[in-house]
Amino acid sequence: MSTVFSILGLLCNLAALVFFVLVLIKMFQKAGALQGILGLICGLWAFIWGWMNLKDEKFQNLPLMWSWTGAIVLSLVFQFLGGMFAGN
Amino acid sequence: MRTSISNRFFTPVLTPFLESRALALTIVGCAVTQTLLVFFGLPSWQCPIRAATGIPCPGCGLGSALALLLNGKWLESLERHAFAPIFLMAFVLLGIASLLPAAWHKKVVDVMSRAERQTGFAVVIVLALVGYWGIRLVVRI
Repeated sequence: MSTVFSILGLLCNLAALVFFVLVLIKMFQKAGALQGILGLICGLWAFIWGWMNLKDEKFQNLPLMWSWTGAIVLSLVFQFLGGMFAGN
Repeated sequence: MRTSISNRFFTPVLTPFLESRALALTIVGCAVTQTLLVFFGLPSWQCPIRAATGIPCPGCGLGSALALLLNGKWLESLERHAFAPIFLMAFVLLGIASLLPAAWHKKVVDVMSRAERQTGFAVVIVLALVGYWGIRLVVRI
């Protein structure tokens, strides 16, 4: 069971990475190369910038920032569950 | 006479964050929260690159380095991430500047803007950070 949650957590991490890259591309396009590099240096800044500037942006009909946030939260939940079941 | 490339080199990086009090306080708040979460061993922001691939990004280790720095463990902090003191200074500057009265706030913004435009030091730091990241990837510090 712990393995299942670990795999789900990894999938959520991969999804979060995809959304991060999408936001990073938007940063380079809208805010310039320096902001893009800052977003690459600190993913947290990309996350904050995304919420400030891309709230209404969609990717494949998915709200981009909500999807990234959801992927992060789910990843944390699955990691917690994986840890809980590994302990048992 | 500056070319367009050298103009970009002297583009302010820190000043846009200083200009907006709300943004500065948001960044400082997130930095403090992240540092405290790492310090107390609680779940904190995970780098999306490292979480998915295992490869650290240029900023990986900053949270724990800042926590070590605030704990007085300077050497360990520098070993974890050499740019932690610089980021600490930037966050302190952002925090203080965002709480200053309007006239002083404007003065700080003007001084920083002039310093960045004349020296390009912020861009140098960003490029040095990327170079440091490359070295860390190779040496696996």
